[in-house]
Amino acid sequence: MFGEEVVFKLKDVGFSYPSGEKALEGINLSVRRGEKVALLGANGSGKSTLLKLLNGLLFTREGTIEALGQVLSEKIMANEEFSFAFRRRVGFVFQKADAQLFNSNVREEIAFGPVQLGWPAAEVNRVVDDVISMLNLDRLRDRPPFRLSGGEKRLVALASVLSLNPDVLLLDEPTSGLDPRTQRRLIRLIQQLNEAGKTIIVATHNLEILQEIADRAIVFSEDHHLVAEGPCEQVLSNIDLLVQVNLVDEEFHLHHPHPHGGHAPRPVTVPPFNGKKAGFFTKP
Amino acid sequence: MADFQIPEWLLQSRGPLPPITSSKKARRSFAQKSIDGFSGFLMDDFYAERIAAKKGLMQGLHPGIKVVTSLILIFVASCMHNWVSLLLINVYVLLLAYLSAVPLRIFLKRVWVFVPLFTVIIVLPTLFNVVRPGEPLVVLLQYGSHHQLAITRQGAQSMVLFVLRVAACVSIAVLLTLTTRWAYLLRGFSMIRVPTIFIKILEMTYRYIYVLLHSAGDMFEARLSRTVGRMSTGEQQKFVGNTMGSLWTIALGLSDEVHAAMLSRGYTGTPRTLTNSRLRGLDWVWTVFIVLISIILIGGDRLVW
Repeated sequence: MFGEEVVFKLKDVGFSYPSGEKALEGINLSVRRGEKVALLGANGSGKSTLLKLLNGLLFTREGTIEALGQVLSEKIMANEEFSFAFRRRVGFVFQKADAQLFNSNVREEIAFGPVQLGWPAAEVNRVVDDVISMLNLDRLRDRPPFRLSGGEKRLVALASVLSLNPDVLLLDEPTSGLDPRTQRRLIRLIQQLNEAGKTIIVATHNLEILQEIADRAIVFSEDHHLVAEGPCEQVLSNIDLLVQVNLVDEEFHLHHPHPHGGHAPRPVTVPPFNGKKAGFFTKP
Repeated sequence: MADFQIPEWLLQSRGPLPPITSSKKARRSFAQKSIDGFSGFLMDDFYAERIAAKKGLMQGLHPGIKVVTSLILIFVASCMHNWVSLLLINVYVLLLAYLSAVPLRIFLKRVWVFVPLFTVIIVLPTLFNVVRPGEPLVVLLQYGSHHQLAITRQGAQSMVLFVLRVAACVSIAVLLTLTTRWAYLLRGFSMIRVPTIFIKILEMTYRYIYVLLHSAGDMFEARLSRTVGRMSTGEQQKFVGNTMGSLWTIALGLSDEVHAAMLSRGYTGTPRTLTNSRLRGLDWVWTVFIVLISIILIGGDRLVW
């Protein structure tokens, strides 16, 4: 189904912030080209930190991260040629759209990447117009970011990354705070981009849309370990796991039938994780 | 829902990373430097909070008493005329820092980076006879039969006194801030009758500096993430200008929301806070001790040394 090329390969990756606060521990993981992967975990489990590590914004001394066949390090990212080539291929849409919108209007925001690449003005205009028309942002073209609604900001932030045509898209909580229609549009766009061959890695704790935005889910525990990975359907059916990692509470029931028949809520017993992956759908 | 019309170019793959042909280092961009600066600030503050949470002499005192006694000591230090008294105060504060589990390296760095940088530069000219006439101590330059450039005894003495005095005052202030959590320190100000409204404003400023600092950090990270080519100085300046504007807008929006949140929880314009914790025996003993030390220092300075 997916290409064999590995886009990201993480080996025993751990990360602590300078304050000593642990964010990730012992992460082993690989993502192949064209995959659609969700990073699942409660707040503070390390999802956003992992995305920043994958984007070469943070670096770790514990373990290695291989991206597009190259081990990421502060040294390699300091190489101008590599850094520019890498950032053209791996786009990151931040959780806080406000942080990402630093230009004075929507048009300039979308043009920011192509302008830096030194493309001719006509080429930049074409790309910007294409993205604006694709996302139906025409009426917002000259608006300053602070006059956009939350959903519009999110779309413009995505547009500003898409104008660089990255092969890999890292999305941090892309649907949080969006109204249903905007959320639906964003999901459809993610699906289409993936169908076009883009690798999608989404950090989320929204289980309702999980199966639509990902084929595979990677679950992080609150103590920053990777505790499970597998097809979304299997992850969603393991309520004990979801309770354990604080993605659902004991009263939770999904809006689709429970695999064991009937609907939750039901009492659960949760075995301790001890930082190990959960059983049956763990990769061999 | 209708499908998006994805343009042809967006469907093209960029292909594998090209081999690196140049070892040219990317200039450490202002974005990276700023991110480092933000995290440096947060780290400093984190260390200060950690020291303030330790068990030590100063940490055990009531914040109000600490503010009052520190102000007394600063007043005493600025009254001293003798280098011996000033040296004693410096040594005394260093001892207090030690008893309060403050790492001396951090303490000395905070005091002695600031003092020479500013104080020495301020008083440097008064060392020389051309600015302040006096008895020559070291002659630097002789020109003509009656003219010379020299460091004077009076200049050197007043410089030593000035530097020691500033160092003593800065040490006391640094010790106070390192051993007291910011929130408690502000409450301590109420003991010296600083109006509650000022304390409340300072408290909120401190709280929201972090929000804005994080927002600024996120902006610079997002900028770094999209750095795919070189930018001219003008474009970089434009980015900084835009960031400032955005932060201003965020701050403005926040201030409206915070005010609305305060109103919705019954704020009427007069800040009210929980009453301060009560003074304990140790606090009174400490106050008496500091007053006694102050009397001894002033007496010694005027009569003995």
